[in-house]
Parts: sequence; C-alpha cells; structure tokens
Amino acid sequence: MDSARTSSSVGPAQPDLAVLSDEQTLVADLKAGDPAAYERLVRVYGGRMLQVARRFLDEEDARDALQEALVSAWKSIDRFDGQSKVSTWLHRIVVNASLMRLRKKNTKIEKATEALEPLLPKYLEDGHRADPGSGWTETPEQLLGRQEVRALVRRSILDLPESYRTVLLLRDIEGLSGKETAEAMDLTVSAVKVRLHRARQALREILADHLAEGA
Amino acid sequence: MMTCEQFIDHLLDFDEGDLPSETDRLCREHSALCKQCADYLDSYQKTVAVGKAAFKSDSHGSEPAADTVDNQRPSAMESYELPEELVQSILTAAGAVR
Repeated sequence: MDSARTSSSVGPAQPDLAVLSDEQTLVADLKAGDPAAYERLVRVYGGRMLQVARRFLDEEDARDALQEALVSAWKSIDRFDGQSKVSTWLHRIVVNASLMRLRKKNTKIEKATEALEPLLPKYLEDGHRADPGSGWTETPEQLLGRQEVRALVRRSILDLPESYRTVLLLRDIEGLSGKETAEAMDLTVSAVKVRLHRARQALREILADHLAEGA
Repeated sequence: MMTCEQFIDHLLDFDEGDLPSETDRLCREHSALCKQCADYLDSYQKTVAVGKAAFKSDSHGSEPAADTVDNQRPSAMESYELPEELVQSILTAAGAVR
C-alpha cells in the first residue's frame, strides 16, 4: 500500500487536484469491487472515523459501529455520487451507525435532565440571575491556544449527559443542521434547540469554573 | 424590559439571528443595559466557539496537528491508525479479504 499517497488523500480543506484525483481513483476502484481499494479506504479513513464514533459511544460499541459503517459504505458505494469528499460521506455513515447503536441502549432522558439541572443558570423571583459570576477575558483563540483548555473542553463535552452530548456533538461538532439532527435523533426541531441550548449552557458553566476572571 | 431569565432563554436564537425583530430588539436592549447578561452572552459565544474548534482536528479534514492533541502524541485511544485486528475484522466482515 502506498501510505504516502493515501495519507495525502485526506489532507487540507483547500481544493487540491492531487487529492481529488486520488479520491476519484479510490472511488472508481471501490465501485469496481477491488478489495485492495476497500482496504485502502479502511486504513486511510478508519482511524479518524473511529474517533468520531468514540464521541458517541464507549470503545467496544464505537468499534462495532465503525465496522458496521465501513461495511455499509463498501456495500453501498454505488450510491456515492462523488458530490462530496469521501471523508464527508463516510462521516455521515459513521454518525448514523453510532446513533443507531445509541438508540439501542435506550438511555433514560429524565435522568439526563436531572444531571444537567445543577449546571443551568438559577434565577431570583424577579428574573435576575442568582449566580451571575464574572466575565471571561480571553478570546476563543487565546483559550484554544492553551492545550489544557482544549483538553478540558473535549473532556467536558464528552462528560455531558448522553442525550445532551449527542445533540451538541451533532450540531456543533459534526456540523449537522437542526433539521438533520432532529431527523437523526427522532426529535422535533424545537426539542433539538432546547437540548442544544441547555447543553451549551451546561458546558459554559463547567468551563466557567476554569476560564472566568478570577477562577 | 426583558428579564435576565427571558434574555438567557432566547440566547441561542438571539446568537444565531433567528429571533423575530421585536424580540431581537428587546434582547439587544437588555444586553446593552445588563452587564451580567452581556458577560453571559460573551461567555456563551466563546463556549460555542471553543467547543466547535476543540475536535476540529480529528473530524472531516486534516490529520491532527502536533499542537492539537493535548500537547502530546496521540495516545493509544487517540491514535489515527486503526488497530490491525480491527482492520482485519472489518475486511473480513465486508468479505474483502484479499
């Protein structure tokens, strides 16, 4: 296998003729049923796609979801129309496979709501906040420049109650629209919005303990 | 005037420009007059921004940059190379073993 060539095929977001050519060759070989092309697909994209599945699932389920997704991709390659990058197409398949596994686990939403409640803002009877806290002085760029902050953000997102974490991952990390997220999770668009807002507020509260002025 | 609770309830739509114009105006007015809520909005927006960026290196596009994986080489859990036994399992499941 040509690792130098294949690793370049998942590279920068900027248009790159070599990358496009690599992807076209890979897809053509896959559509021709070439097992070597499938192995190339698994080795080149599998690692990153496993990272995606791990955001939703524990290690064992993530590996199973990845396997289901990649087998499904192999079997449905004829439906890939080449309008998106291979990585984008695979990403969607992996997210869907991960969500199907999550649904099978049938998490109790009520428990998740209870777990999130302490992280939401509290209000006085007149509608003012009971716990205003202080502002954050650093910019997002400054915050992300600190490795411990990046690690904290990732850890905090993954620690959110499952139903909230999934909505936040789908909307803010995986880039699905509200409608797409609603369809993927079998929720209404407004329910997605409520969960996303609560998840962001909870994440803000967790981060505030570390990032607010004087924290 | 809008209360802090109402302002924060509308925050997601306000931030995304999805509010009806009158509600949007009330939110802007509240944010201009209430420093606590202006700070909350600022930290909410920063939370969204850092959340979106924190996983960026391992999703759609590029390989992880050296400075984006918790200040160290990827651990076994964060490796971008699949374990060989998983590769073989996937190839076998697809009937694509050469």
